[in-house]
Amino acid sequence: MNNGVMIVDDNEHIRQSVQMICEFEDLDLVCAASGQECLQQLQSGFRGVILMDIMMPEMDGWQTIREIVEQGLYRGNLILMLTGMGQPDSRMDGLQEYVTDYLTKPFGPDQLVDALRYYLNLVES
Amino acid sequence: MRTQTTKIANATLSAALVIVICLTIATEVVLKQIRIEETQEAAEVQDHALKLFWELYLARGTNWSVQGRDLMVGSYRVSGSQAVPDRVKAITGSTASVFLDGTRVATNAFYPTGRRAQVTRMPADIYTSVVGRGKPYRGESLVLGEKFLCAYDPIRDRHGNVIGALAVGARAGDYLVPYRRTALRIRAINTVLTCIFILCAFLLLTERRRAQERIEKQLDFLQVIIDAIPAPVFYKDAAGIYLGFNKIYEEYIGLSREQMLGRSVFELWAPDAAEIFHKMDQQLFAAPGVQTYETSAVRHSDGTHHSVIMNKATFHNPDGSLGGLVGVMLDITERKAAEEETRNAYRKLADILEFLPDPTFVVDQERRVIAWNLAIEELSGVGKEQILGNGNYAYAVPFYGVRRKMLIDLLEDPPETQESWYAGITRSGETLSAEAWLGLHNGERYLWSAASPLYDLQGNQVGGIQTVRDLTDVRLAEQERHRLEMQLKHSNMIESLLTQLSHDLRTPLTPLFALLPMVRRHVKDPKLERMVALCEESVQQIQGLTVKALDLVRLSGAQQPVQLSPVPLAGIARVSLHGCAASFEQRGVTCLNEIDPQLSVFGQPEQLALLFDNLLSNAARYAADCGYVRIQANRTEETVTVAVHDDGLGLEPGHCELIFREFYKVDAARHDTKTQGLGLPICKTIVMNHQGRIWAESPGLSRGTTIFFTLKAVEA
Repeated sequence: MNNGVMIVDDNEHIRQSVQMICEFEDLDLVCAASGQECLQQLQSGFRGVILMDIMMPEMDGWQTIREIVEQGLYRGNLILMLTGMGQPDSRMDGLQEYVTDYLTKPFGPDQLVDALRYYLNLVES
Repeated sequence: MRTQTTKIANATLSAALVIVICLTIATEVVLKQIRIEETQEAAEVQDHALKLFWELYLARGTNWSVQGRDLMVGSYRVSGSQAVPDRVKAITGSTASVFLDGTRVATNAFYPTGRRAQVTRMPADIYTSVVGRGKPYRGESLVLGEKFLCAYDPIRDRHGNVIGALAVGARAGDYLVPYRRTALRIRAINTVLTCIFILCAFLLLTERRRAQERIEKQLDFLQVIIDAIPAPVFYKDAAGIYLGFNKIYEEYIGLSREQMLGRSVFELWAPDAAEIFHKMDQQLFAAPGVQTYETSAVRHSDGTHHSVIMNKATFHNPDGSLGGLVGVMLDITERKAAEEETRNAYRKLADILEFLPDPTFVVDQERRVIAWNLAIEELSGVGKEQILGNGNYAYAVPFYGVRRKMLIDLLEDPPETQESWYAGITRSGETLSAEAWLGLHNGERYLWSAASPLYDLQGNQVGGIQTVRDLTDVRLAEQERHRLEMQLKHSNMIESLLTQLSHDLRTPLTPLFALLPMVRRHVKDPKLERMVALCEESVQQIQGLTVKALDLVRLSGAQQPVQLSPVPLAGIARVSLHGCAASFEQRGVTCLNEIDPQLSVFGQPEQLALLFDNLLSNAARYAADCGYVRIQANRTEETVTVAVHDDGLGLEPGHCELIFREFYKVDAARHDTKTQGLGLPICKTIVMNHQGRIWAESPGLSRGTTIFFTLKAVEA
C-alpha cells in the first residue's frame, strides 16, 4: 500500500475539508472519526502521515498516540498534531518524541498541502 | 520515769529486807535476855537449895570428917545416907549430891534404871576448881550425861582441908522450858511475819515490774505515735527542759536524742530562736492553757530558714501542779512560699491584664468591677476611676448606653436566655462568645467578646472576666475581601468562558479557513470572487479576534506573578521585526532597530515578543507609506524606556489614553476591518505584568505616533 494521509478528528466538517483539499491535490486520504478508528486503520496496514486532533471524546489524541506506540503501530508513520494555541498539556509528557510537527487550527489549504507533501516525502524516504 | 520506778522498787525491797533482819535480831536479843534471866533465876534457886542442903547437915553436926571411907558430919554418917538429899529434893525439887573427894557418896539422883547414882565422879574441871582449889562453883555441867545448872560448895574438915563437896543442880531442860516455849512461839511468829513480808515484797515487786512494763509499752507506743506525726513534736517539763520529742524534731535540730534530752532551748536552738521560744514558754507557764504563735526565726539543721506556727499546751502533774508543756511545730514555709508566689502571680496577672492589648474587665461575685484595663478605657472612653467598684451592670453603659446584661452576666443562664440577649452566641467549655455592632463614643464599632467565670483554688466561682476585641476593621476587610473574591470569581468565569469560546471557535473556523481560499481560486466570476474574498476577510477578522482575545485573557488572568529573567532587548525586537517584515515591505516602510545590542532587561521572553509583535504590526499598519519606524531604547539607572516611533497617522491629544482601551479604534467609523482594537490593550497588559508603564505621545494627526514603555534594566 502507498503511503497516504489519515485525518483523525471527531469533527466531520474538518474531516470533509481536509478530504476535499486532498482530493484536489491528489493525495490519498483516510478518515478516522476517533482514536479507535485510527488504530483500526493502522492495524489494517495504513502507513503514512497522520493528522491527529488532540481534543476528541473518549480517547483523545495523546491516548491514541500512546496506544499506537504500545501496539507497535508507530513504525512507518509520521504524526502531525492539529492544535489550538493552548497551553502545553501535561498529558503529552513523554509522547512529544512521537510528534513530528504541529499544525495550528485554523489552517489554510496551502499550509496544509505544503506540510502534507513535505512529510509524505519524508516518510517515504 | 523508768529510773524512778526502778529506784522505788529497790527501796521497797531493801526496806523489807531491813525490817526482816531487824525483827530477827530484836527477837534473838529479847530471847537471849529472857534466857539469861531464866538462868539467873534458876541459879538463885540452886543457891537456896544448896543453903538448905548445908542447913540440913548442920542440924546433924558441925564438923565434917572422914572416918574410914565414910564421910561424917559430927556423928552422922553422910555416906550412904540419902535422907538429907531426898529432903532437899522434896523441898526444892533440885538434885542434891554429896561428894567425898570427887566421888558421889549420897544423892537423890537416879539412873534411868531407878538405881541411885552413887559412886559416880565429879566432872574433872569442877573437881579441880572445888576440891583442888577449894573454890565454890556455879554454872552448868553434865550430870549423868544430862546438862544441869549446878552449884558446888567445898566441904572442909576442921582443919580447913577440903574433903568433899555439896552439890545441887537442876536439869537445864527443866528451868529453860518456859523460855524454850516462848522462844519457839516468837520465832514461829517471826518466821510467819518474815514470810508474809517477803511474799508482799515479791508481789509488790512483780506488780511494780508489770506496771513498769505497761508504762514502758505505753511510752514506746506514744513515741511511735509522735514519731509518726509528720510535724515536729516535743514536750518539756515546767523548767523548760526537754523530756521528749519525735524524729522530725530531731531532724530539725540535727542532734541525736541522747544529745537533746535534758537540755534547754538555749542549748538546742540559735540564740534568736531560743529567746523567742523561752519568752513564749514563760508566758504560757504564767498563764497555763493553749498558746499559738507564728515565727520565722526557726533554722533547720540543713541551714535553711523556716516559718512555723507553734502550737503549745500545758499539762499538769497528778497532784495538780504544772507539769510542763507539749508543743507541735507546723512548718508553713512552703505555704508561705506558695502564698508569696500567688501574690506575685496576682501582681503579674494584674500587670498583664492592665497592659493586655485586648480590652478586658473583671467583676467579682457581686458583679462589681474589680479590673478595667487600659485597652478597655480607650475602647469605651470610660476611665477605671469612674467604674472600679461599681456594680448593677455599670460596665454595660459605655457599650449599650443603658444598664443591661452582658456576656459576663449570662454565664450560668440556659442557652435560650443567652440567645435572647445575643444572637449567634457560642459556648466553648465555660466560655461564652458573641459578636455585635455597637455604638460607642467613637462611632459604631463591630465588637467580638468572650466571657469566662473565674474560680478560686477551691473551685468556688469568685467572679468573671470579659474581654472585648474591636473587629471593625477586620469585619470591613472581610466584607471587602468577600467582594473581591466575588469579583475574582466573576472574572475567572469570564476568562474561562472567553478561553473556551476562543478555543472552540477554531474548530468551525478551520473548514472556512481551509476551504474559502480553495473556493476563491476556482471561482471564475469576478463578482463571486469578490464575495468569497469578503468572506475570507471576515473569517480572518474572526480569527484575529479569537487569537487576540485569547492572548488578552491569558495575559490578564495570570494567577501568578510573571517570572522575570534577563532578556536581550535588541534580540527580541529583531525577531519580531523579522516576523513583520512582510507587512513593512508591503507598504515600503523602513524599520530601524536602534536598540543597543548590549542592553538587557528583566522580562518574560514570550510576552516581550508578543509586545513587540503587536507594536510593530501597529506601526507597520499606521506608518506613512514608504515612511519609517524607529525602535529606540534609553537606559536611566534602573529603568529602560523603549520608544517605537512611526511617522504616520498620528493621534489627536484625547486619543493617547483611549487607544489602550479594549476594542477602541481611532477610526471612529471602524472602517479598519483588519484590526481588532486589542493590540494595545495586550501591550498594556504585558507592560503591567512587568511592573512597567506604557503611554503614547503624538504631536497631532498625520504627524506620527510614539509608543513608550518602561522595563526594569539588568545591570551591565
